[in-house]
Amino acid sequence: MSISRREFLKANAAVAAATAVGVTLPVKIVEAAEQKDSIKWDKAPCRFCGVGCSVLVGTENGKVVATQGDPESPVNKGLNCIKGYFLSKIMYGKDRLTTPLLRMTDGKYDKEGEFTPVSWDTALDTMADKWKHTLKTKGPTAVGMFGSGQWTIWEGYAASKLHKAGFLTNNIDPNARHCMASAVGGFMRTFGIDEPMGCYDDLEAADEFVLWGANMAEMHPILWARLSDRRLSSPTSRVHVLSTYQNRSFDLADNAMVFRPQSDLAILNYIANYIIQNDAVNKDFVTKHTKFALGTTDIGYGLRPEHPLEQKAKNPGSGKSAPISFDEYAKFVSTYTLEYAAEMSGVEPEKLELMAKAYADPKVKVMSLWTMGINQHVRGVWANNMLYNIHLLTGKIATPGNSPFSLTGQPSACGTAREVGTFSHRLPADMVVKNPKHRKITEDLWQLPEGTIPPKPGYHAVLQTRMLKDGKLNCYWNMCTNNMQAGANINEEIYPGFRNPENFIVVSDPYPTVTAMAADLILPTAMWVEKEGAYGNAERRTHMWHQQVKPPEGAKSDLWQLMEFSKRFKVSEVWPAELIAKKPEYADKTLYEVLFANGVVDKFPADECKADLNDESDAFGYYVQKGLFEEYAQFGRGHGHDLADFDTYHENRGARWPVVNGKETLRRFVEGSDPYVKPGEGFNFYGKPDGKAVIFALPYEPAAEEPNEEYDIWLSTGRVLEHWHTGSMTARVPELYRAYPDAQIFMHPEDAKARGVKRGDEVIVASPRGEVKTRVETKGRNKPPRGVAFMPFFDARQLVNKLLLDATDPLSKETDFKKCPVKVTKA
Amino acid sequence: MKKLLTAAALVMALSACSGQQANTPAEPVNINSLGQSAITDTRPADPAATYPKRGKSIERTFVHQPPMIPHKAGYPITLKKNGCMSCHSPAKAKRMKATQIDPSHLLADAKLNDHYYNCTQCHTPQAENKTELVENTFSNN
Amino acid sequence: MSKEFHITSLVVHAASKSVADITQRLSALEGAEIHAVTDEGKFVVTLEGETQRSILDNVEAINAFEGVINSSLIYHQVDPIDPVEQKSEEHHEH
Repeated sequence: MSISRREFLKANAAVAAATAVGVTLPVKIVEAAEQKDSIKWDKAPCRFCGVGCSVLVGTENGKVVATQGDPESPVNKGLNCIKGYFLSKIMYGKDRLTTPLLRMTDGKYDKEGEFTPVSWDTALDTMADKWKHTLKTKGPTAVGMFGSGQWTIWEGYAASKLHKAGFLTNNIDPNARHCMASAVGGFMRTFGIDEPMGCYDDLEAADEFVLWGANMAEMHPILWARLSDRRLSSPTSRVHVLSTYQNRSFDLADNAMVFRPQSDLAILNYIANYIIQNDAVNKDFVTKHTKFALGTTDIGYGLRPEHPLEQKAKNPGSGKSAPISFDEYAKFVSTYTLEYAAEMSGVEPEKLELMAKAYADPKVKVMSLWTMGINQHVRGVWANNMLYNIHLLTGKIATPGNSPFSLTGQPSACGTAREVGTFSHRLPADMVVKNPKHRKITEDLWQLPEGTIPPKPGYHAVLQTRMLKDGKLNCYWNMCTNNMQAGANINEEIYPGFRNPENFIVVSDPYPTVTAMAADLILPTAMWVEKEGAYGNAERRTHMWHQQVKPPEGAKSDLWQLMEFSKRFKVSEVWPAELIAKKPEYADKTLYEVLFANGVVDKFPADECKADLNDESDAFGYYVQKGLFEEYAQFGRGHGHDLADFDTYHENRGARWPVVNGKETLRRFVEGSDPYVKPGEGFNFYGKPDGKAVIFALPYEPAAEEPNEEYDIWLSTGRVLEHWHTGSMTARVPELYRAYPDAQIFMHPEDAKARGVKRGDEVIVASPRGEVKTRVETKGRNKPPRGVAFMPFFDARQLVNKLLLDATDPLSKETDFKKCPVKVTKA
Repeated sequence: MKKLLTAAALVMALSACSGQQANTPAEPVNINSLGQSAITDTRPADPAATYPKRGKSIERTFVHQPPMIPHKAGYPITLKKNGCMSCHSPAKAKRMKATQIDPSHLLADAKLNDHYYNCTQCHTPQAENKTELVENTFSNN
Repeated sequence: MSKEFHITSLVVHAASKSVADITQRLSALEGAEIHAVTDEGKFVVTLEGETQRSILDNVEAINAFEGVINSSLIYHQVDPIDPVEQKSEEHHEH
């Protein structure tokens, strides 16, 4: 026995005793004890936000016993945020679901019945009956699915394929519609190709940073740690922070700006105007690589067509534009003077100018960062376009530190929702269902007859809830998402839709969420390292993990559920005769055989999986995840979306696409970094046929609603550091719950006083659509100006999104969660 | 070990009523979301969280867990000043009877590595008047 | 018979007036090591030895110290001391 083992045993003993009395021991002792050799460590991406940190997962006796930051990860370099550290506990809430639950009365399905345990066969058979009946009587537009940016890549791919190619419906949309759709719209409109050109390395290369509404200190803590490190270690670097209320990111700001909701559009155009007025346009870049367009205006608010605001709009939902010249663009933004921007926004002019100077100075490398403030915005696509305008006018793009960077909300909003194309209008690799060529490419790769994929976009997320209420969407499957808490206008739209007697609602989730409680059938679901997975983060990094523990007995992964469900349908039961006539050999096959056991997905033997566990491969008899990934990867290879081969991702800490000849791409569209840009081109925005990015002339337009005499304060909803989205995982971790137990409404002390309340008082927060009870906070981490309030949505006991109007960006269909007039009264 | 047994018993109990082997219809189960009320209800707010002025270090529950903060923590962490360092820096921890920051957070000259500057992104206080919404069966062995 | 390595940890609760005295007496005990002392006078102590007897003797001695309110055993592990490296399966934690 070695001395080191003796020391190790002693340390273990000491730590055990110290733990018993709650003492922290000197680090050396703890470190010795932590070398416990019975724990097996393996990598996995964090389950939460879009940053895409890697963690090391410690397992012992079939359970996760610890998690820690992965020192080998280039993203987080060994660090985690508080949520990431406590990943170890998210699977162990005592109320994990372990059996399907169907609403029943006297042993039969009953919409008004009580949740009763049934077998998986009964659950899936009941579902299949409902789907078949609806498909037969009302057609494919009456079935649909709401999925997730937290799905693994192959889960999203399998779900999309099942709907678009199996059920012949485009009614599949991810919850990423609520978070990233405006970013997608912005990318497609300006560049013709989705996702950031830059990467996280820009955080160490930039001189100045501008946060457009993003509170990175809480929502992207690891990137904030990198940015803070850069700022603190480089005295010449500067941080500009814009938000509608003071938040934690202001603590490290050199230039802190609180602006009036919606006035960001005016500020963006002011900066463009400043650049032009001060002769700071990079003329060479602009001439060679950009063109100008005038966007259609007065486009409405994405509400139901009969809503007065839609009736009033001249061009509701129009994304059209017409080419213009640089001079016309310059004239368009010329009215956005410093005085006008300052008056509109309420920001001191010298602060706005300081920021404008940073963008205009050719010697200063600027990184712009944004997320939900810009995306969850009734003019979200425009705001994204206008941010790119600034970087394109100055040529500050795609080079180290010059980086317009759209941060992502969810761990695989990029990898699964966007790249796989699980949206109601999309197909893999940025293709769309409207385009006949794109449908043809997809049908060929999927070995399907021409005309399989419907050309008309399906119901997007918000439209799905409206169609449920209207009885047009009748069979609805929610997977990996909690829309009854996260969606807007719960009382008027979402809840009535779920409980509409015409509808059958299925919810797959590890826990009884608010959404599950409103369902007719609940399916118990495996999560995170209970299955093999792949995610794609905000910097185009695809990364993978192996299954590391078994799920609780009875819980099954989303992938298993989707594939098992597909076995219950014969092609002849769901496809029209004229389609089957083009491929008669499919008639008697099941959807499972046509979509999954198709010679491509089932081509890799199960023993190619290097992990000890892989429940799906055991169930289906082949390496399911590899087969799905390799079929999917064919869409992007050679088309600007190249992924490496499957096995590589299990070896590395991920790679940023396009991965060509084994090499990842740090920055796209620029010669020397992007393999798709030829020598001598300098830049090539190849998403557009002419290689030119578009600078859009777009105006300020007001929010859907503004505070009035009765509803006299703006309410913004969002996240907090300690919880992930609706708290269905993090609120079940005692340490995270105790760190931030209850939602609160953050208000200015004078606003509280004017309403006769003070810090800690219980209040009713109400809009015309509903109310919640909460407590007032006037001193915490968020300090809104007068007239603005903030409330987080993680707390299932305070469903704050009941208050919000389901107004969306008319182009992206993403809801504005940030600008709802409410009234606050003493409870 | 006791916890493990409880979890195993629960799994057995639930699988026994899953209907897979039983012909008689199963009884309805009582499940609840963390909402603790009907979706359409307006639930009264719970008492506001309170945090102790000072407290003893809190037991860590697994290896590599960052220690929780046993006191309220509204100290400023700004460009000019890191309030946590006034008590937890190596120079002051002993005198202030505070836990010294982990050596992994320090540079060779014993100064704080700026990568770890935002203490509260990993270390958070714990409300003294709250315990948990749902029991968590996590065990570190 | 091969030799063994025994390791035990315990929490020793001392009356507050006796903390200094007990610190000294614990330190003097062979194989004992103090890892921490709480404000309430609880000591985190490990005891090591080559036989179970030697450990138990020490525990009895500690219990007999004047000012000790109580002591509780937390952890005990036995490892064989072999020329060949070998890991023990014995592992008790309470």
